[in-house]
Amino acid sequence: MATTGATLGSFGDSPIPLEVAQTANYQVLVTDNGTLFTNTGAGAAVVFTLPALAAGLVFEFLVTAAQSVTIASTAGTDMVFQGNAGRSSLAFSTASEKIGGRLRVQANAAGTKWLCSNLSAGANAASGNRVTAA
Amino acid sequence: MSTTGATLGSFMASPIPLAVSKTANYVVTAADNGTVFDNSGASTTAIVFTLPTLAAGLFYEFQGIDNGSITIASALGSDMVTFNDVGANSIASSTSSEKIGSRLFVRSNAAGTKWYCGRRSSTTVTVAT
Repeated sequence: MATTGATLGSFGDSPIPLEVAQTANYQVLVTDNGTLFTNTGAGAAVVFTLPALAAGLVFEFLVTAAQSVTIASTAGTDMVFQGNAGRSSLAFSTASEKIGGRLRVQANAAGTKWLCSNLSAGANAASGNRVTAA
Repeated sequence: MSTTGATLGSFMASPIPLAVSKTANYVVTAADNGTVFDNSGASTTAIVFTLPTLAAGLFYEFQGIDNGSITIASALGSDMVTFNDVGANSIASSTSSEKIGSRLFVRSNAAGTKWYCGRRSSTTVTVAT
């Protein structure tokens, strides 16, 4: 697939971020760097497993079909999210709060943690679309 | 206005994205692409930003600076993907005591058929369908 997003290194650098739909579980690759993944067309839950941590990696995940989407770390316990620096996975799985769920995961400069942000334009002030952390 | 941001086509391509204040309702144009709109100077006046016709590559952000509501509305309607909705008409920062500091963004999808909506603030978003 095209790696424009990866070459440019971020979503904003490209007028159109690389957008890829996955309808089944997917192992995210280093070469996917800069991709906005969606679950457009999915009829079931989708698990995105992140690649091994490395500085410079950034991905976004957007739920467009009303199915659960989980973003999981390969190594585990290295996702930083809402008061916890050792999460293994984050999911949009709450009924009626899946569509619109948007999560950004970005490796820290040391390549040792996934820094995670909920970018959902959800109805809950604090949480947006609710994220279930494990 | 300067169109540096529009020329570069995005926020992060420019160290300082193009920021434009509006104090009244405004119809966003494709030429505004890459702009961060704010309501500085609007005081408590509500502002409606109406998005342009959908096209791939469009990206805008909206920052609450003054204590007025900000609504981002689709021109066509029923094409905004946001909380539990793939066909919303508008999103807004309108909750009392949560307007200042709100920051919402919209980006067209690659096909140019939907507005993908998000936020960068911990403020309530009101969705209209």
